[in-house]
Amino acid sequence: MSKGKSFSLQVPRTIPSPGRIISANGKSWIEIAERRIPLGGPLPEVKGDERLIRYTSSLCPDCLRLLPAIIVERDNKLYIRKICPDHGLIEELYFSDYSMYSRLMKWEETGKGLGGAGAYTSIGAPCPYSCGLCTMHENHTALANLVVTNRCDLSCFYCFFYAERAGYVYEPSIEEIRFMARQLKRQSNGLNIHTCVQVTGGEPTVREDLIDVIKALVEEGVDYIQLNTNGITIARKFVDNPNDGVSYVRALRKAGVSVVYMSFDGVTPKVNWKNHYEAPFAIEAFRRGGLPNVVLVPTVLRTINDHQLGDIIRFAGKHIDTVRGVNFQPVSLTGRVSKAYRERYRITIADVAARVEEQTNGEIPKDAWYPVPVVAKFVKFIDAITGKYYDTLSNHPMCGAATYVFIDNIDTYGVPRRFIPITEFFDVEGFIEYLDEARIGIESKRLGKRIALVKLLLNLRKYLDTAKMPKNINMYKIIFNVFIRGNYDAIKEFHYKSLFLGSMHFMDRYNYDVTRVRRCNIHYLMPDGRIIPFCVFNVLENLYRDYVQKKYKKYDLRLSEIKGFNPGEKYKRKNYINKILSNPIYWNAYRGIIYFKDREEQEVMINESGEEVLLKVTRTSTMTTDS
Amino acid sequence: MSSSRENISIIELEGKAIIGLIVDVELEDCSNPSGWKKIIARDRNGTMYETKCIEPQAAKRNFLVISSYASRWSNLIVENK
Repeated sequence: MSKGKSFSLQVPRTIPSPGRIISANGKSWIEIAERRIPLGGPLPEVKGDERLIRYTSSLCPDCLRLLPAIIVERDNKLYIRKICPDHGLIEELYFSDYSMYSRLMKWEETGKGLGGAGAYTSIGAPCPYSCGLCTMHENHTALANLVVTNRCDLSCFYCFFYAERAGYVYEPSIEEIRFMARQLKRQSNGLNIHTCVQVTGGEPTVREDLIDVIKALVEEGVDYIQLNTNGITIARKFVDNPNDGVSYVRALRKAGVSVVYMSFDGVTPKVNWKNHYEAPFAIEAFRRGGLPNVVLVPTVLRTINDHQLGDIIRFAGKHIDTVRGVNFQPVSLTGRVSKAYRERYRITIADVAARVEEQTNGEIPKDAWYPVPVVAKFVKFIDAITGKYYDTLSNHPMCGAATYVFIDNIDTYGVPRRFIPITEFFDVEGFIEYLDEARIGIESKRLGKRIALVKLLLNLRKYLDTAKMPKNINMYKIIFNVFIRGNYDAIKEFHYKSLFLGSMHFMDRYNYDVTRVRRCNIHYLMPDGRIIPFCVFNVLENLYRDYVQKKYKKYDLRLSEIKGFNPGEKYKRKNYINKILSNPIYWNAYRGIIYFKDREEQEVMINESGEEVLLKVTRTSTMTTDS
Repeated sequence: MSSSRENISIIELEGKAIIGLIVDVELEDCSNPSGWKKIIARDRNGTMYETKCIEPQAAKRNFLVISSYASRWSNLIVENK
């Protein structure tokens, strides 16, 4: 029996804050989720060889105590430092390149609060103990993650989230999902803010009624639906019977899925052990099923897969008819992690951009990356022109950066020979600065809307180097269509001809910066009616994610085990590997990206005459990205 | 609060408020664009700061955040301030 059904699906417009400050006997703490969280610590000092960049607050990784923190520059790198009175000093790499930090931070932009929603929760404690979302939150939801199940067909060693580890199955009912969608839709009240939901898990495709879930979201008025998947269900269906895989994709698309986020950590099986063999079949099913909007999502760990970022982009470029982009996610180190382990694996957006530059022979330079709030500048200009109030992506510049690249030419295997970043032919900075100035002019009534648009067109040639523009794109026409004709299909055309490259760095307890959380616009929908920032939901998981999901659990596995309950079938590659390796789709997908090198080892002995006698020949085949 | 002012970003000002450096904060009207506002703040050393002009709703929200830290929470976050 679902415990969740005993909870009401109607909540007050503003729910009481989950956390509240308690002071007694000269001490203060925060009470939240039936726990006491300590408050406060000493302000760390800036050392002689350092420069103070700014202040913020952060967390103790051990006890979640809210602490003052400093961000300092040392040897062109930024570090965050805090001191927990109980657990000592914690210092962590915050950003790997001060020059890039300065360039990104100048794009800071204000948000639109919670749009038309009003506060979901009252303020009872400082950020992040009043989530969510409260009136202090800077940004409405740009992307709402909806966990439709915590069941998964994999059992990744680093994941603590899936059903067997959690000890229960969390799987909200369709009714609960409708309620969560309605809570999200409040943000669009009276405004033009779109609602975008990413259906996630666990692995959402293990849920048997996934199509019904998506239909329910569409019926509740959700504008865009993304599916976050490892692709294995789709690949498995396709390998068994291509028609089954394609039909499933068509059903997803028909129900309302428009974009697929698919895990893809590298191009070789050693690096991408999760879905290296299956990804080509999932991509083929999306291609044939008419859902050519796949974004590859590599989780990037230093020393593990940071040497394959260029190859991942080339793989995406080879499949550009179906793959729209790559969204690199520098690892968020969950749980208690030793300093040595952190130093080995920690990577930041600056490192991702540097590796991409190195691994594309300088074709995609670091300077091609811009922080997400650049989009906000663009949207605010459109708001000023149209008098409408669209979605604004004004998150903290340290949360994410992106660029677009075009393919100049392909080789015989379809692999891009050269990438052209948008910045090579378009002065992004100059253009956005013009939009910002023009918007201020319009808002001040110093500049008429039509005059602003005419000036934009007249100046456009100044920002465009048509000689360097890729042959398949006409930026002038696209900008003309978007701004003059108000035809946003031109943006779609742009997306289909380019490859999006993004990097979103979700935080962990070590590099936690509360000024980032307050500006977060990637949120989670919760069945109790709250909406929680990503890095609160997953970093303070005991207080938010696990605390609420346990309350709303569908089955307790410890009880169900007795009755032989199985939370779901696990994927067994050994049942599929022969079919995969005998299928040309697999080989063609990677041809030109990875190479199979044969090695021959001979075992010989010397006979009585002193001659070599061949005893055995062993041939082994290894995969490499070196041609 | 009209003495000379240093320009500051909202994120930097918020950080100063979090650790209790800000003692006074107020909103000031902007003439360009009219209706927009900037946040003016004074730190413990008497240094004055001002942000750029921002939309009125954003200004009010950020004012609320900065004044909440300055007046209520920074004392709890920073020991022996």
